[in-house]
Amino acid sequence: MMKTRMTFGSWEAITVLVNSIFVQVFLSFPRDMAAYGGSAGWMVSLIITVVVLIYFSISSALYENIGSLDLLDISERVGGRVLKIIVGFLITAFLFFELTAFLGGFSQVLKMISLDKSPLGFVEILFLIGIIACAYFGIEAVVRINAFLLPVVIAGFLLITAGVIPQMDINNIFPVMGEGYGSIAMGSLYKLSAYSSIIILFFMIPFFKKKYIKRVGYMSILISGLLLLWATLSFLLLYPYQIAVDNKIPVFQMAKHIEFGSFLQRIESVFVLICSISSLLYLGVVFTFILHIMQKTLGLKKSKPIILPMAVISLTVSDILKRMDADMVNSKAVNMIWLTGLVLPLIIIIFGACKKVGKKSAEGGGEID
Amino acid sequence: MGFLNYLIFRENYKREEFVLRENKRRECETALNAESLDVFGKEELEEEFRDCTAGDEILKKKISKDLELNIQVVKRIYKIPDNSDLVTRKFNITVKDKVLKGFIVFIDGMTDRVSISNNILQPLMLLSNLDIRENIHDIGEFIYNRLLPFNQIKKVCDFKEITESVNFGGCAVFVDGLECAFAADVKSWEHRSVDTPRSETVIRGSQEAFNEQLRANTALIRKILKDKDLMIESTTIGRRSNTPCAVMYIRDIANDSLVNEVLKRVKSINVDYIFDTGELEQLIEDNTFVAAPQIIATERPDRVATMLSQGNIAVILDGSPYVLVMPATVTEFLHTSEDTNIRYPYVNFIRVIRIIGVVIALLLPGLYIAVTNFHQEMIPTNLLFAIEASRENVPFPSVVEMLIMEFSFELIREAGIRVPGAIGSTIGIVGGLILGQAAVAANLVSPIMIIIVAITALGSFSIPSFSMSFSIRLIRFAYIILGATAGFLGIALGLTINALMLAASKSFGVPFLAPFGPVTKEKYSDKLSRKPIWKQEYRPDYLNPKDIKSQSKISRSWAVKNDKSEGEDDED
Repeated sequence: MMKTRMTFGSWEAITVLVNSIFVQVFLSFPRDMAAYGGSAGWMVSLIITVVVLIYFSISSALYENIGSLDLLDISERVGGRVLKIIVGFLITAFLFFELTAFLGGFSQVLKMISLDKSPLGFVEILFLIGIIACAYFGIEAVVRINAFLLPVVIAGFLLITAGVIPQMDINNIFPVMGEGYGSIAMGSLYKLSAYSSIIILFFMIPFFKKKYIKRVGYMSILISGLLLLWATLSFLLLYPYQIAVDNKIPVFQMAKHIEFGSFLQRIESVFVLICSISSLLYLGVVFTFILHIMQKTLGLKKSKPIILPMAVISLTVSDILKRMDADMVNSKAVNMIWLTGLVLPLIIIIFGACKKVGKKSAEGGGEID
Repeated sequence: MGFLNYLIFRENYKREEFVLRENKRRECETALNAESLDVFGKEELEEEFRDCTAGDEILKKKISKDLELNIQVVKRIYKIPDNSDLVTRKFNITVKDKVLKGFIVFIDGMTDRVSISNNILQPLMLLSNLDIRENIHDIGEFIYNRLLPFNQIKKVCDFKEITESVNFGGCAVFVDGLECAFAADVKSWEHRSVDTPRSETVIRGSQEAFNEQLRANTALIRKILKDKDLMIESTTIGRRSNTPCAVMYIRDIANDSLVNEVLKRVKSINVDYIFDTGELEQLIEDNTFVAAPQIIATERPDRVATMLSQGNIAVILDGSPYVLVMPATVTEFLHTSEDTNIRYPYVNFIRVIRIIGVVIALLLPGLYIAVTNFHQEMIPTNLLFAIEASRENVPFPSVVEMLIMEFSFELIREAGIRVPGAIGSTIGIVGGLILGQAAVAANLVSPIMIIIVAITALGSFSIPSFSMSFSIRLIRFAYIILGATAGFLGIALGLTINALMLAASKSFGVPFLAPFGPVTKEKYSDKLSRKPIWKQEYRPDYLNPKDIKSQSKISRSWAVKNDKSEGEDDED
């Protein structure tokens, strides 16, 4: 039976996480894989998926002692209100950095391929309208629309990649080990950041039943892992890696290879559509969770009054980052920052599990299921 | 002589100008008190009192034993004899040599005069003269049991109930010496008979539609369901109109909290008058500013019956041929009552067509604008040349062209509805010729634009719900603007915001996008596609019905070899 309490199901949670990870494919993920691993770039995406699966199995095992608490609740129970506020601000800052970097990234991509005559600010404002709408309608609505819009995005992506199958060349992924073990290992370490959005999972736990935590985690990682692997593999099969590393927007470049002919000549515009939907959903989710975390950290009654100021700040920061002329999405230094999304939750969970905060809350009539 | 009128000045007759004056404020409270007191200026106040309407204090009065007083009150309430359709009649009743005075009041045109004469006046005036052998202890009981051979009559002891009864086609009978009157339900007025549906036509299925009679409408539904658990709770809406309203549900299927919520919303409406379920819908819906409708309005009894059997609630208002059914989700706006009557392969085919129709009606103009302005590479070169050639002489940008065409089409549609039937065909000719040919010939629009608008119109006609069609027509303009502003990014932004609005809206606690957002259990089999009828074992999960199962696992017992297995499956 459907419940009336503000909750969402495991499928909705899976789609949110899958989109948050998969969205990077529309920027430069396949190219980065080629850059790190050469012709063995697909191995990098496979390895990072396996590593994140191990990471999640450890986290979910530790969560047995935590119950349905999110990271802020765990922090509060471990180190009191002070730690909660510190962790809250750290995570907000991390997600805010993610939001602004990707806001700029997606705006630039879409301006480059579709809205070349429009100023970048105009594209950013369109994104901003989308994320403000997401925040206004709240977590429940944002998560729900992921459930039925993500399949459309994935279908579009598969259409593009399936369209280039006739032009793929198996020789492109040889030598199998690419530039060697070292490059693959280093690439895997840096690109673990692709899964940094998994931090959102640890804030979604209170919204779905605790028994689904493993299902949500494993399914999200596996589905997004498969998609990342297929994106990298199809890209590497299409282009020799020397050429691949020069492609700015890999999936768009792939789409340009397809020619249907009769009524729809080219389908790279499908890329624009699915990239726009996916990025709007992703940025909307991140922004909504930033507000949720801020509200919870500061004990605010409502988050709506801070939507507009936060949106304006994110646009401003995005512009500042753009002026810094640094690759905020893919540079090695930034990749290490992205790893915060994996490291910080693990540290909090370890402390929470050691202190068995879930059992304490259950004894006190708390939130454990 | 007529010519002289132009030469000789004559002053015109002075025409009296009407001036709408402000109403004089009536001191009804003071006047009412003055009526029973000896106060200064009593006559003036009594003059005012005559213009005051009968308030609650009079309506709440108990019926008096004094017939003359009752007559005065009734005349006061209805302002008789100024009120021309109110009929009163005095008469005498003889009960055991005792002559009692009587009085009836009813509204001409709303009552059955023959019934009043034969079943009320005749027995009272003639039967009472028969030789009565039994002892009469209570004259009221005697009249009720012996002298009024009418099937729907009740004793009423206050004027409020009497007024409500008379207003709704009743006949009130007052007898001198009795503290109660009798209210006979003799309603009978001119009305439309049960006709075929006008806006929800089907080929396979019932050809009956609701009319404006509440009781006829409830009977149409009860006739289909024939379920002892079908409940019809009656209430009235409108402080002045007291419009009868019925809330229908199946008590062992419908969710209790849902029933209570519907009753609460309906009963708490505080308006003077209500005329149609269209008004009621706006008064009880969850969100006024969402374009999509949140309540289904249907003129088909079979559709209401089907939805009641799923656990929905229906609200019928006297005077409206449309019945409201709630809660409503997005899928139900894409269903028709014919869907249950046609075979499994056909219904799924037609639903695919309908969904494509919805997508076309919503997105095609916006997508066309986006493609032609931003994503020309999608169009094959030859087609692109053809489009460009057709637009060569058109002076407007394509978005303006599209807006002109869409606006013109909406204009034709509106005019087509409002125009009198006799000249209805003119609209088709005007629309077809002027918009189709002349506009192209005059280089106002390109031929491809005509095709786009025509296909969009066809798409919108495929939407079964009138309200949903309206909502899509409205949102379509937003997509045109977004497509013209930012191409596919604009369309994606529109889709996201539109989806958010729908995902956030609820109809009586049920998410509008259920069963897709949130995803509910997959057992319910009539979503966008439909399973075969023998596999439709469950009611919609999102309605939280009391009884989730609508048929046994094996509904076609003949298909099972062993008869015992049916019983076993039924226990699932």
